Amino acid sequence: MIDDAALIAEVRSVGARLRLPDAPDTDRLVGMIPRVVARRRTVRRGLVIATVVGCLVLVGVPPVRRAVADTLGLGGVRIRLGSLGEVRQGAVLGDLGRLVSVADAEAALGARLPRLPGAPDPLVLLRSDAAVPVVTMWWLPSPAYPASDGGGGGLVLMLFRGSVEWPVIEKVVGDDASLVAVSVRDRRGIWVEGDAHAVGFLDPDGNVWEDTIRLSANTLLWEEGGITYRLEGSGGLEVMLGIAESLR
Amino acid sequence: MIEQARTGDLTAFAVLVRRHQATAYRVAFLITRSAADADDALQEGLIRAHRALPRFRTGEPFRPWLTTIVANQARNRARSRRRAENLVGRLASVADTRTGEDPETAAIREERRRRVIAGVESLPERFRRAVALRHLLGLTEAETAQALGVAVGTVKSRVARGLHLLRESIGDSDD
Repeated sequence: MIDDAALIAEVRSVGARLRLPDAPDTDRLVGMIPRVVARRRTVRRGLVIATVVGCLVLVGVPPVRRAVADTLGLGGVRIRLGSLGEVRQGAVLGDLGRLVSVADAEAALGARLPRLPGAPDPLVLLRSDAAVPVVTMWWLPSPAYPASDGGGGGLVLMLFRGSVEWPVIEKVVGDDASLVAVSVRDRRGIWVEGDAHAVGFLDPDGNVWEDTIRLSANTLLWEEGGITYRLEGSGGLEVMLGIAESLR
Repeated sequence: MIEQARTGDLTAFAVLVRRHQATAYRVAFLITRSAADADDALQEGLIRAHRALPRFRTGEPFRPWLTTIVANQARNRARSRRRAENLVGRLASVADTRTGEDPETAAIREERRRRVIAGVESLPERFRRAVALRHLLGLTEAETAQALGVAVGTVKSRVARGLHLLRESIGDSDD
């Protein structure tokens, strides 16, 4: 049987014979950076303005509401680009709700709360004064889930029934954060990464309730079984996807 | 050059990138197995690297830093639905003219190479990436760990397991 050294030598020999594609012209790519960055800000703001207008003016027209939600890919989440100062100026200060039992949270949500194997029991909070009940599961910082920059949460999972009638959560993303479409548990999701961004709840009256406990770290959003999940932590995409996949 | 780039000098940044991009791009290609996705990963990686320059620690080597950023983007894109390219088609058929290899021997050796690369391609993703970066591309264990976002120990175990599975898939004949 071929030993490791010989097999490695063989693989390396094969590697030397691979004609890998050449990189694109990096001088041109670097030269484009300022324009790409500027264009993204414009596109995001345009999407945001169109979305806000769509939601305010066209509420009550079911096919249009669905189209707006479909554009963003998630029923209950609207992503808005703005500055943290912008949120705070108009915000009605709020919190994540009251501590409750798992049973009470499941009854309010109308769904079973997921379990994270191997992790200690989380704090479970329920917010009942938003458009729909919002449950937050908060695993306090530990070596497995260290605190995220700017805040105290180790790992946070927020759940609510997504609605196409009203955007329930409005996530405010700063200029230096980015949005990437990803697959989460074989479903369509959104990954938000970058500089700290605030999280606010939007109620049917248009008030923004700001999360004052912490600024968001990297965040993974997806829908499953009619529930929107928002997973927030200090890990990168692979880590967070691994956590999402391990939820039971 | 790095200090110049950190002041916002795009030309200096372009020079740095030109010097060190080849490995970053090849890593992106081996992770995504798609030239289009690798192109995207490189472009996005350069944007993020440029933004992150103020945080780059002077004295650290630039190439692994850039490679890690590009590799992160490649891993994001590898979850897209684009069909993965088969590397067998990228094997250069080159007879070993130094030893005056005859055509039949060259053909046997070529077939063996195809089996090896097909065997690497058929590995479970986490083992395939580790073996591809470590031994097809020749990165060090530390560089492979950085590119994959895992610990060096994880790279060692994934490479070991990958080689074990590869050995089984290509058979243990040494022809």
